[in-house]
Amino acid sequence: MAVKIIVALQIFFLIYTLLLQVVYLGLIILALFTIRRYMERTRLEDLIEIFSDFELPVSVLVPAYNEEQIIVSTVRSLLNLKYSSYEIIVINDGSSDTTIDKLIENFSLVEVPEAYARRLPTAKVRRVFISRQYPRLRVIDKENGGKADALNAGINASRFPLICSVDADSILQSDSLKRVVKPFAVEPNAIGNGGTIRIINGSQVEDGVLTRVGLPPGFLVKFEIIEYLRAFLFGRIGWSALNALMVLSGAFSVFKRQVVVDAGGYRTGTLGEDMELVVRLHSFMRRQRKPYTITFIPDPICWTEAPSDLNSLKQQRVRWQKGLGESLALNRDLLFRRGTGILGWFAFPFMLIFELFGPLVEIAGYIFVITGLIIGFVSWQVAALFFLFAVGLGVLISVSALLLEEVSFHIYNRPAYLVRLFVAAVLENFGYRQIISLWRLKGLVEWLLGRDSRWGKPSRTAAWQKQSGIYDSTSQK
Amino acid sequence: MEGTRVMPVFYNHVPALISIVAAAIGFFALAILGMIVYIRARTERQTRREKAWMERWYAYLAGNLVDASPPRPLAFSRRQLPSFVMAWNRFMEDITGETEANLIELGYRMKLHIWAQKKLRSGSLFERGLAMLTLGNLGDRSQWSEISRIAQFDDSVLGYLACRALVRIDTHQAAPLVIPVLIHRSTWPAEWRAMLLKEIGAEAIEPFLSAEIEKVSAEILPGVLDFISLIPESQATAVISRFLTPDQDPEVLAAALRALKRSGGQKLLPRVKELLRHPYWPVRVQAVAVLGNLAQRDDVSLLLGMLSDENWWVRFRAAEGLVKLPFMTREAIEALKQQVEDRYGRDILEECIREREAYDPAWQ
Repeated sequence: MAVKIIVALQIFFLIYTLLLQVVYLGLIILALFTIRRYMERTRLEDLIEIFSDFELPVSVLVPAYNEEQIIVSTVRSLLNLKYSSYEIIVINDGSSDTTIDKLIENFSLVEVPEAYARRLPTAKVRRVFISRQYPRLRVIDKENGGKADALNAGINASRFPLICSVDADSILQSDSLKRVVKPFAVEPNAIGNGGTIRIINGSQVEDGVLTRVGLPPGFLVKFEIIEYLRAFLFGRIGWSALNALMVLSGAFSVFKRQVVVDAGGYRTGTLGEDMELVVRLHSFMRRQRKPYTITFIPDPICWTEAPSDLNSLKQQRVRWQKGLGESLALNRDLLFRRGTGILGWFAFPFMLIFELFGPLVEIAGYIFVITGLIIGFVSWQVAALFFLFAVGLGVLISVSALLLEEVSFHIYNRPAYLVRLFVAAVLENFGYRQIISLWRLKGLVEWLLGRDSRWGKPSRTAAWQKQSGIYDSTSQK
Repeated sequence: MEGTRVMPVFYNHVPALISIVAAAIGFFALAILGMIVYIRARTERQTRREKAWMERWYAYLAGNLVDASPPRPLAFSRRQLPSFVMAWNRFMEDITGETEANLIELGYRMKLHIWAQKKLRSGSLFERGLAMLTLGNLGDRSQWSEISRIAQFDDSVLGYLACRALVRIDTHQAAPLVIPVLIHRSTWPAEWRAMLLKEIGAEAIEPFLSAEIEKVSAEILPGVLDFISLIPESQATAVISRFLTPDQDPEVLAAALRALKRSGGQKLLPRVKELLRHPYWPVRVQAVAVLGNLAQRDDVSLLLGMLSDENWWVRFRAAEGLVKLPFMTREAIEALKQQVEDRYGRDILEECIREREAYDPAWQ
């Protein structure tokens, strides 16, 4: 009996690991075709873009909590976007620092009476400001209620039909807004779209404008860069091609305001409000039997700082895993529901089995194989095969992400960067990914045990800014 | 090795399987590295080369803006031609008048039309797009039928570039062909379509737009009504009035009012006023917005009444309209505010007053 269990476990871990990597490889192939087609079409469209100045109006929502070091430069960068019709709404979510004072001082804000529509319930709004200097800028000063609550307050105050959430610690490229709203102009059923998040550590920003792309020293952030490339360049492109995308980064995504309001807005009290909203929108639209698309396009770019120390990274990943658990659990009715197609029958189970419970199986697999090898109940052949599937195919997937980057954007333009990233793509499979899985497992366990869901405060350096500061971000990239 | 005894066939093959998988992973990883290095080297070379070429083309083209007869002909290889075509087109998009004629003459002399004619049929997707842009900017009629075919049947960007080329080649002849395509093809962004309709010209599009608007499906009609503001006001008013009836589909009604807001049309104001009590709030919002734009002194009470509408957007547009009325003084609006009994109406009016004060300190 024990032998049969051991054999069954060996087969399970091997098949699970292989299956996971095969799905990733499938997504890479899908992304490769999609990205090539997309790049060619974008190149053509850019011939027209030169002459176009009619655009869909967008409300850019910037939730801010204790962002005194960076908020002025973020707003300045948003004011410089190459876009004709947009407003910026900064929501100061009860910061305990001088965020609101900095805004008042730097943008000539004057208080106006609060008279906006409370389409979504939020914590109390204390004051609303407009800028004498920049008519497109408004600021809401409210009591602390979390990021989702701040975004809901922003939605209440928004005056345009599209809303774009941008993290207060992020920098948009000047043409990013123009690009990210494009799906709404060509697809009447588009309800959500997201762009790529890139890691800014090691790059340089002056007055809110990215002036040089670079890489930070050390391997930790480089590993994260490879992870982001994997997540954005094939993960999201692949799922988007199947209209089964279950996460758009809260750091940079656009939605139709009315649909978000009808679906109840961002859910407060969750850790992954961005993912939860996307999954809920899927559920909501399918329940309404309305055609819709939620897409991802790779060229609108938002730059953000990644944790540069292990403790912050751990906090972030634990939080992300809890957010994933919450999002899936809160919208579990999508799972195998009739009429949900690829989303309910493939993407949701994939997220559940491989993303949510993946760390559990992965870590259990490593423990089982290594212990078995030492004690003797796992043969070296099985162990070798397991590591080949887990680590070897992992290397292949990571370097493929680098290839996708190279055929599309090649943003890291110095050959030395390429070499360093290739080395990172190989090395991240030996230790880094396993540590990340361990932290994700911690997140999973904490979520299952219903541990406290408050925001963590990872320390950031903002060394890429001319004026450095420390700030925190609460979104899942 | 208990497992080994249970699955002998499997384990007998494992060493071979390991070797094969390991070799395959190693091979593919190295192959990907090779591809990355190759792509990077090629891209860098291309970028450097094209940058240098572009600088040369820009200098040459700038030198020939005034006079199309170059002091010495510019020699370039076949490989360099597409980048020159790009540079030439970029210049063409930015200039008008005599200098445009000079550049067209130069384009023909450089045989850009030959390149474009060839690439239109046999080039890559990008080359075909660039070819149409070039033929359009040159005003080359030789490929009219092929470009017309693409315009009518291709709903991608290529189709749009074809429409654009036709308009550039011969606006008059292109209008009957292109306008229906632009009206019906909702897969192109409205701003692209509006831009091209604008380029064709208000007088030219009016008869087609008036006729085609009757044929479009209810689904795309609201989008098409947005284009009405592109035709002269008097004709626009006539078209809009056809849709401004209370029994009309609410989405269409809202779109017609939106078009009226853009194009103006005092004549339709009585019809607009009738819609202020429409049960569908987007209609009321648009009606109030039109009224805010066109209101006379007598209409102030109507706008004031809309401040107590149940919908925030209606109240907001009413307040915005009141505050922006050209004859509305600071003192007059304050007096009006005192008349508003509805709390929400007073609040929104106060907000709009304060906003106007902030943006327009000279407002008295």
